[in-house]
Amino acid sequence: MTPKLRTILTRRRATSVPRREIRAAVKAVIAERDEETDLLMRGITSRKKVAGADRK
Amino acid sequence: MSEPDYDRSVFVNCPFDDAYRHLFEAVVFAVHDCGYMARCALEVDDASEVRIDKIAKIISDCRFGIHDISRTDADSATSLPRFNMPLELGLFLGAKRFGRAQQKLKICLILDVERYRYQKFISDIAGQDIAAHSGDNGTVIRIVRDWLSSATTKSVKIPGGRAMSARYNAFRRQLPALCKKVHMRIDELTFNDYVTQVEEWLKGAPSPAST
Repeated sequence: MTPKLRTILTRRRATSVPRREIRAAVKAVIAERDEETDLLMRGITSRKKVAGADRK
Repeated sequence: MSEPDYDRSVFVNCPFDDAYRHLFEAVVFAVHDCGYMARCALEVDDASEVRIDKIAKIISDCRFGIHDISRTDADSATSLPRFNMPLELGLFLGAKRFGRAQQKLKICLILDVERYRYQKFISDIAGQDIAAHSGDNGTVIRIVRDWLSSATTKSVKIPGGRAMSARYNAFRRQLPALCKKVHMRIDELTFNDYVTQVEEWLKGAPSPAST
């Protein structure tokens, strides 16, 4: 059986700003990410590794 | 608290001062990126509840506990060390030893700056799993990740330590813009605000390329 990626859990909390506003802000900020941040988000720390992987 | 929540809740017992904040936030991020939920005394803002009762309730809700005992320095104002972290570690170990069947399943990770330093000030915990973070975010993320990974069923994949550390760096890069959009400053974020941002960011960010 192929392992499935873990799921992110959430819990109801008393926040200063409603969760839906935070979700909308996250969506907007992630959409504006640059290339380097995108690589980091995917857990990739080295551009060389990515370039190397592309060549194969 | 339902059983699935208990099995995926992690009590975080660490200093809450500004000097430690970067490690605390890294630990919370790692817990959530592993698919677990961080809980701590800061989450309840109810002045009518006695603090120790509040902490005991959270401990009873969590199967896992991360206890940082690194803050042994004397407080600059009182010249005395603070004992809250060792006390809460004791509560956690007591729940495991004397609690009901569910409480006996508790697992804890003890953190310090150096691996064997604890022997000089709290030698009774010898035999527990103690790890050294050296005050480094990447190290503490890898320690928490590896510890939770070993407690996770093999059918669930958790991002690797380096990948998780990179993802935390991406989150930190975006946090100022994120706070700006919700008209807050980073230093104003409460624990609940911070965790909610982590949860939503992890849900919205692209999945790690490989683990």
